[in-house]
Amino acid sequence: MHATYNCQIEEITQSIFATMLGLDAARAADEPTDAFERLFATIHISGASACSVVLGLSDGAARESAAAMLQAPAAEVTEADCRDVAAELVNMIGGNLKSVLPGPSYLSLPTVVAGNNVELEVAGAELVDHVILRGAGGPLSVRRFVQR
Amino acid sequence: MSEKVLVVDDSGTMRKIVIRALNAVGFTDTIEASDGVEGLKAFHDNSIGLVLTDWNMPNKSGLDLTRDIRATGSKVPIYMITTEAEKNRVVEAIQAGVNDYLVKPFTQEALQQKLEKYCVAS
Repeated sequence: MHATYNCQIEEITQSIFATMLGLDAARAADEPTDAFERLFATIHISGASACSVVLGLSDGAARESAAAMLQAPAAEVTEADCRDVAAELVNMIGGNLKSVLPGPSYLSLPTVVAGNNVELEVAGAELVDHVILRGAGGPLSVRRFVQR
Repeated sequence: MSEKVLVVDDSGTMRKIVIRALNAVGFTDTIEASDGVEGLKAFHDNSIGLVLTDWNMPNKSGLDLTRDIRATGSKVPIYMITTEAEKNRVVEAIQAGVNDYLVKPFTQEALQQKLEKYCVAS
Protein backbone atom coordinates (compact mmCIF):
# COMPACT_ATOMS: atom_id res chain seq x y z
CA MET A 1 0.00 0.00 0.00
CA HIS A 2 1.55 3.29 -1.08
CA ALA A 3 1.16 6.56 0.82
CA THR A 4 -0.99 9.05 -1.05
CA TYR A 5 -0.02 12.63 -1.74
CA ASN A 6 -3.21 13.99 -3.29
CA CYS A 7 -3.35 17.00 -0.96
CA GLN A 8 0.29 17.91 -1.54
CA ILE A 9 -0.11 17.53 -5.30
CA GLU A 10 -3.16 19.78 -5.24
CA GLU A 11 -1.37 22.42 -3.14
CA ILE A 12 1.78 22.32 -5.25
CA THR A 13 -0.14 22.58 -8.53
CA GLN A 14 -2.29 25.43 -7.25
CA SER A 15 0.78 27.23 -5.95
CA ILE A 16 2.55 26.91 -9.31
CA PHE A 17 -0.49 28.15 -11.22
CA ALA A 18 -0.94 31.10 -8.85
CA THR A 19 2.74 32.06 -8.66
CA MET A 20 3.97 31.50 -12.20
CA LEU A 21 0.75 32.04 -14.15
CA GLY A 22 -1.41 34.22 -11.92
CA LEU A 23 -4.23 31.70 -12.41
CA ASP A 24 -6.60 29.92 -10.06
CA ALA A 25 -6.94 26.16 -10.33
CA ALA A 26 -9.64 24.91 -7.98
CA ARG A 27 -10.42 21.27 -7.22
CA ALA A 28 -13.09 20.20 -9.71
CA ALA A 29 -16.49 19.82 -8.02
CA ASP A 30 -17.36 16.90 -10.28
CA GLU A 31 -15.08 14.75 -12.40
CA PRO A 32 -15.44 15.22 -16.16
CA THR A 33 -17.15 12.15 -17.59
CA ASP A 34 -15.08 12.09 -20.77
CA ALA A 35 -11.32 12.07 -21.23
CA PHE A 36 -10.59 15.77 -21.59
CA GLU A 37 -6.80 15.79 -21.80
CA ARG A 38 -5.15 16.40 -25.15
CA LEU A 39 -1.65 17.17 -23.89
CA PHE A 40 0.25 14.99 -21.42
CA ALA A 41 3.54 15.98 -19.81
CA THR A 42 5.40 13.33 -17.83
CA ILE A 43 8.37 13.39 -15.51
CA HIS A 44 9.96 10.56 -13.58
CA ILE A 45 11.39 10.61 -10.08
CA SER A 46 14.04 7.96 -9.38
CA GLY A 47 15.63 6.98 -6.10
CA ALA A 48 14.00 6.54 -2.70
CA SER A 49 10.58 7.73 -3.88
CA ALA A 50 10.53 6.43 -7.45
CA CYS A 51 7.34 7.41 -9.26
CA SER A 52 6.03 9.02 -12.43
CA VAL A 53 4.09 12.29 -12.42
CA VAL A 54 1.76 13.00 -15.33
CA LEU A 55 0.14 16.36 -16.00
CA GLY A 56 -2.85 16.21 -18.35
CA LEU A 57 -4.15 19.42 -19.88
CA SER A 58 -7.37 20.08 -21.78
CA ASP A 59 -7.00 22.21 -24.87
CA GLY A 60 -8.32 25.25 -23.01
CA ALA A 61 -6.08 24.72 -19.98
CA ALA A 62 -3.02 24.24 -22.22
CA ARG A 63 -3.69 27.46 -24.12
CA GLU A 64 -4.59 29.45 -21.01
CA SER A 65 -1.42 28.27 -19.24
CA ALA A 66 0.83 29.04 -22.20
CA ALA A 67 -0.76 32.45 -22.73
CA ALA A 68 -0.37 33.34 -19.05
CA MET A 69 3.23 32.19 -18.81
CA LEU A 70 4.23 33.94 -22.02
CA GLN A 71 2.05 36.98 -21.29
CA ALA A 72 0.58 36.65 -24.78
CA PRO A 73 -3.01 36.53 -26.08
CA ALA A 74 -4.33 32.96 -26.14
CA ALA A 75 -5.03 33.26 -29.87
CA GLU A 76 -1.33 33.87 -30.53
CA VAL A 77 -0.09 30.85 -28.57
CA THR A 78 1.32 28.06 -30.74
CA GLU A 79 1.25 24.31 -30.24
CA ALA A 80 4.99 24.41 -29.52
CA ASP A 81 4.37 27.03 -26.82
CA CYS A 82 1.74 24.77 -25.22
CA ARG A 83 4.12 21.80 -25.22
CA ASP A 84 6.99 23.82 -23.78
CA VAL A 85 4.83 25.27 -21.01
CA ALA A 86 3.36 21.83 -20.20
CA ALA A 87 6.90 20.45 -19.88
CA GLU A 88 7.90 23.28 -17.57
CA LEU A 89 4.77 22.88 -15.46
CA VAL A 90 5.30 19.15 -14.90
CA ASN A 91 8.97 19.86 -14.17
CA MET A 92 7.90 22.23 -11.40
CA ILE A 93 5.21 19.87 -10.08
CA GLY A 94 7.65 16.94 -10.04
CA GLY A 95 10.46 18.98 -8.53
CA ASN A 96 8.32 20.37 -5.75
CA LEU A 97 6.69 17.01 -5.08
CA LYS A 98 10.14 15.41 -4.87
CA SER A 99 11.02 17.80 -2.07
CA VAL A 100 8.16 16.50 0.11
CA LEU A 101 8.73 12.81 -0.67
CA PRO A 102 11.30 10.74 1.24
CA GLY A 103 14.70 11.18 -0.41
CA PRO A 104 17.20 11.15 -1.86
CA SER A 105 15.49 11.20 -5.24
CA TYR A 106 16.32 12.54 -8.67
CA LEU A 107 14.24 14.16 -11.38
CA SER A 108 14.27 13.17 -15.05
CA LEU A 109 13.74 15.50 -17.97
CA PRO A 110 10.08 15.93 -18.97
CA THR A 111 8.38 14.27 -21.95
CA VAL A 112 5.29 15.67 -23.70
CA VAL A 113 2.73 13.71 -25.72
CA ALA A 114 -0.10 15.40 -27.65
CA GLY A 115 -3.21 13.66 -28.92
CA ASN A 116 -6.83 12.84 -28.25
CA ASN A 117 -8.03 9.66 -26.56
CA VAL A 118 -4.53 8.78 -25.42
CA GLU A 119 -4.58 5.76 -23.12
CA LEU A 120 -2.03 6.37 -20.44
CA GLU A 121 -0.10 3.59 -18.79
CA VAL A 122 3.20 3.45 -16.93
CA ALA A 123 4.64 -0.04 -17.23
CA GLY A 124 4.53 -1.99 -13.97
CA ALA A 125 3.09 0.93 -12.06
CA GLU A 126 -0.22 1.63 -10.40
CA LEU A 127 -2.11 4.88 -10.16
CA VAL A 128 -1.79 6.15 -6.59
CA ASP A 129 -2.77 9.81 -6.79
CA HIS A 130 -5.18 11.52 -9.17
CA VAL A 131 -6.15 15.17 -8.79
CA ILE A 132 -8.46 17.03 -11.17
CA LEU A 133 -8.44 20.81 -11.07
CA ARG A 134 -10.35 23.33 -13.10
CA GLY A 135 -9.06 26.69 -14.28
CA ALA A 136 -10.79 29.34 -16.35
CA GLY A 137 -9.51 27.71 -19.55
CA GLY A 138 -10.66 24.19 -18.69
CA PRO A 139 -9.80 21.14 -16.62
CA LEU A 140 -6.39 19.65 -15.94
CA SER A 141 -5.24 16.58 -14.09
CA VAL A 142 -2.19 15.40 -12.18
CA ARG A 143 -1.55 11.69 -11.69
CA ARG A 144 1.19 9.92 -9.77
CA PHE A 145 2.08 6.35 -10.67
CA VAL A 146 4.19 4.17 -8.37
CA GLN A 147 5.82 0.87 -9.27
CA ARG A 148 3.89 -2.15 -7.93
CA MET B 1 23.43 47.60 -17.01
CA SER B 2 26.15 46.99 -19.58
CA GLU B 3 27.03 43.40 -18.60
CA LYS B 4 26.23 40.64 -21.02
CA VAL B 5 24.00 38.06 -19.35
CA LEU B 6 23.98 34.38 -20.29
CA VAL B 7 20.59 32.68 -19.80
CA VAL B 8 20.73 28.87 -19.93
CA ASP B 9 17.51 26.83 -19.86
CA ASP B 10 16.12 24.06 -22.04
CA SER B 11 12.70 25.70 -21.87
CA GLY B 12 12.27 28.57 -24.31
CA THR B 13 9.38 29.78 -22.16
CA MET B 14 11.57 30.00 -19.06
CA ARG B 15 14.25 31.86 -21.02
CA LYS B 16 11.62 34.40 -22.09
CA ILE B 17 10.45 34.85 -18.49
CA VAL B 18 14.01 35.32 -17.22
CA ILE B 19 14.91 37.74 -20.02
CA ARG B 20 11.72 39.73 -19.34
CA ALA B 21 12.86 40.12 -15.71
CA LEU B 22 16.38 41.04 -16.83
CA ASN B 23 15.02 43.73 -19.16
CA ALA B 24 12.82 45.07 -16.38
CA VAL B 25 15.85 45.76 -14.18
CA GLY B 26 17.94 47.20 -17.00
CA PHE B 27 19.88 44.28 -18.50
CA THR B 28 19.39 44.47 -22.25
CA ASP B 29 22.37 42.48 -23.53
CA THR B 30 21.46 38.81 -23.19
CA ILE B 31 22.56 35.55 -24.80
CA GLU B 32 20.43 32.40 -24.72
CA ALA B 33 21.54 28.76 -24.56
CA SER B 34 19.33 25.69 -24.36
CA ASP B 35 21.66 23.40 -22.41
CA GLY B 36 24.98 23.34 -20.58
CA VAL B 37 27.00 22.51 -23.68
CA GLU B 38 25.66 25.52 -25.58
CA GLY B 39 25.99 27.56 -22.41
CA LEU B 40 29.65 26.72 -21.95
CA LYS B 41 30.39 27.56 -25.59
CA ALA B 42 28.58 30.88 -25.24
CA PHE B 43 30.55 31.56 -22.06
CA HIS B 44 33.86 30.96 -23.84
CA ASP B 45 32.87 32.95 -26.93
CA ASN B 46 31.65 36.06 -25.09
CA SER B 47 32.57 38.30 -22.22
CA ILE B 48 29.85 37.30 -19.77
CA GLY B 49 29.11 39.35 -16.65
CA LEU B 50 26.35 37.20 -15.16
CA VAL B 51 25.07 33.64 -15.70
CA LEU B 52 21.51 32.50 -14.95
CA THR B 53 21.09 28.76 -15.38
CA ASP B 54 18.58 26.00 -14.91
CA TRP B 55 19.77 22.77 -13.24
CA ASN B 56 18.10 19.89 -15.09
CA MET B 57 18.89 20.10 -18.80
CA PRO B 58 19.85 17.62 -21.53
CA ASN B 59 23.51 17.11 -22.57
CA LYS B 60 25.04 19.07 -19.69
CA SER B 61 23.31 20.09 -16.46
CA GLY B 62 23.50 23.52 -14.89
CA LEU B 63 25.54 22.00 -12.07
CA ASP B 64 28.16 20.67 -14.50
CA LEU B 65 28.10 23.97 -16.39
CA THR B 66 28.86 25.75 -13.12
CA ARG B 67 31.73 23.37 -12.33
CA ASP B 68 33.15 23.84 -15.85
CA ILE B 69 32.98 27.62 -15.59
CA ARG B 70 34.64 27.59 -12.15
CA ALA B 71 37.33 25.24 -13.49
CA THR B 72 38.42 28.06 -15.81
CA GLY B 73 39.10 30.22 -12.76
CA SER B 74 36.21 32.55 -13.57
CA LYS B 75 34.48 34.31 -10.67
CA VAL B 76 31.48 35.37 -12.79
CA PRO B 77 28.30 35.42 -10.65
CA ILE B 78 26.17 32.34 -11.34
CA TYR B 79 22.51 32.16 -10.32
CA MET B 80 20.72 28.82 -10.37
CA ILE B 81 16.97 28.88 -11.15
CA THR B 82 15.55 25.42 -10.55
CA THR B 83 12.89 23.15 -9.08
CA GLU B 84 15.55 21.42 -6.98
CA ALA B 85 14.46 22.64 -3.56
CA GLU B 86 15.96 20.16 -1.09
CA LYS B 87 18.61 21.51 1.26
CA ASN B 88 21.25 18.99 0.16
CA ARG B 89 20.75 20.00 -3.48
CA VAL B 90 21.14 23.69 -2.62
CA VAL B 91 24.34 22.87 -0.71
CA GLU B 92 25.58 20.85 -3.71
CA ALA B 93 24.98 23.82 -6.00
CA ILE B 94 26.72 26.27 -3.66
CA GLN B 95 29.69 23.91 -3.33
CA ALA B 96 29.90 23.72 -7.12
CA GLY B 97 30.23 27.49 -7.24
CA VAL B 98 26.70 28.87 -7.55
CA ASN B 99 26.40 32.31 -5.94
CA ASP B 100 22.63 32.49 -5.54
CA TYR B 101 19.66 30.22 -5.91
CA LEU B 102 15.99 30.68 -6.83
CA VAL B 103 13.46 27.85 -6.59
CA LYS B 104 10.63 27.52 -9.11
CA PRO B 105 7.85 28.51 -8.92
CA PHE B 106 8.78 32.14 -8.37
CA THR B 107 7.07 35.45 -8.92
CA GLN B 108 8.45 37.91 -11.42
CA GLU B 109 9.07 40.23 -8.46
CA ALA B 110 11.18 37.62 -6.63
CA LEU B 111 13.38 37.15 -9.69
CA GLN B 112 13.72 40.90 -10.19
CA GLN B 113 14.70 41.31 -6.52
CA LYS B 114 17.49 38.76 -6.98
CA LEU B 115 18.73 40.63 -10.05
CA GLU B 116 18.51 44.01 -8.31
CA LYS B 117 20.57 42.55 -5.44
CA TYR B 118 23.23 41.69 -8.00
CA CYS B 119 23.07 45.20 -9.46
CA VAL B 120 23.67 46.73 -6.02
CA ALA B 121 26.51 44.31 -5.22
CA SER B 122 28.27 45.01 -8.49
